[in-house]
Amino acid sequence: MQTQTFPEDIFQLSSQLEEMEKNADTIEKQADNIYSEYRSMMDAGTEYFSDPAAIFNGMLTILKDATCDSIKIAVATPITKSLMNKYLAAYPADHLENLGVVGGNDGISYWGSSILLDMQSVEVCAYYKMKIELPFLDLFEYQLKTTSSTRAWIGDGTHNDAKSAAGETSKTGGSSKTGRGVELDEQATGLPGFGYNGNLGIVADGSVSDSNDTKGTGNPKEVNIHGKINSELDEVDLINKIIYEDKNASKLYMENPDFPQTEAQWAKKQIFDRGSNRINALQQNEFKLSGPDASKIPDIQELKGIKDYVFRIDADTPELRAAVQIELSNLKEKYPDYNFSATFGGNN
Amino acid sequence: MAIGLVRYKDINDPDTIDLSENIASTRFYNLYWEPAIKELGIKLFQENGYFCKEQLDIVMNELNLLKDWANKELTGSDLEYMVSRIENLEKVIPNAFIDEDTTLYIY
Repeated sequence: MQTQTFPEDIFQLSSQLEEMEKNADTIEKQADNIYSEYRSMMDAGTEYFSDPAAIFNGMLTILKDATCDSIKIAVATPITKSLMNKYLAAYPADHLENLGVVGGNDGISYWGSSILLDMQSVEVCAYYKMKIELPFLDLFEYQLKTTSSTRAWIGDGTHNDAKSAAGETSKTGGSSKTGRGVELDEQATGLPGFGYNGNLGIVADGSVSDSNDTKGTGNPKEVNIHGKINSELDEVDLINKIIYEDKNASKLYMENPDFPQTEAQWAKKQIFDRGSNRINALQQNEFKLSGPDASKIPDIQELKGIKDYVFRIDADTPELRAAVQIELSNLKEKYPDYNFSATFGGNN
Repeated sequence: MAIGLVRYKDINDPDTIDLSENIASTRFYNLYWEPAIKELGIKLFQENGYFCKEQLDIVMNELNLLKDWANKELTGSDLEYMVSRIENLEKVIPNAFIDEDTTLYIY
């Protein structure tokens, strides 16, 4: 997954601004090139900016020229802000400030976000400060950055769920902390998708979702397949036609596991073998489905038609990514009509 | 597929999996099975584990411990979900060994 690096300090920011100025001519030319297409999109009369799905569809049309990378980054910040404003409209104006976000909505910077940089993904970077008042302790002010990515709605109705890219936090003043040392989560902040290590994703309906919120999506979960081959699906997104499989890989990195194994051994079983077995289970001639909520059990034919599989893996190391990629490729070779991908480092 | 119990005819070919029994969704496994396995000191019946026929008694005892744990710690649908899975495994596992070399995998 490609992640936009956020400038860590003002010097880096300054450096980037200088670089942008140098590239201004290029950006201007790119803007000129896409202007006519932009006009035709607007003249079409579609309410693009009230419909995020239409925005991404329109953006794809405009930005189909892969050389427009600077534009894709430049337009992401205002569009992301616009979508967040729409989402936050459901809350009181001072909601974020009351939760401790310094400056409220205006205090959140989306600098570093990008749209369709790889022609399929939206990368959102949210940068903000949190004030936390604790009894008997000084007022803490933290700088937080949450980056996430999601595949944009690209016109054929497909996109994938939000996936966490990174979470960083640092304490301003005094000793600084980065990485995973500070425990701030969505529950603590009360901000959907804005918790430390949380996920901010823009979904097709324009709402902002936390991909860890497995109960709030309305997707069928824990769908049991009963047949000659039994199976169980962790989550099925019927709107975007994606089957999610959660995988525990953290035991690979614990001391003295009862069953030690390499990343390659883990990936072969958990990705290739399990992926194969799951598809085989869904392709068998006769099977029944059950689940904890009978009203959410998907239609068998609809389930069989889903071709996108996403493995959500709770660990993230270069070795693990490499091993998983090999098995994803092996799956694709074995089942060319299906698409396989993986996210790393999230919470299952 | 979440967490399941699997038997292969050929360990190198997942298409030869001829026994596949559900244990739990990953969410449920992480929430309940994992802490129970840790608390009870379960050694064989855990994710990434595998066992053969000569270890059957140990496995059946571990399943019994896990069922007792569920009856003590869980209620409602969570209790029903975990116990029903364990009871199914208690029926399936003793008959799952084709020969002495048969290995059952959990992942």
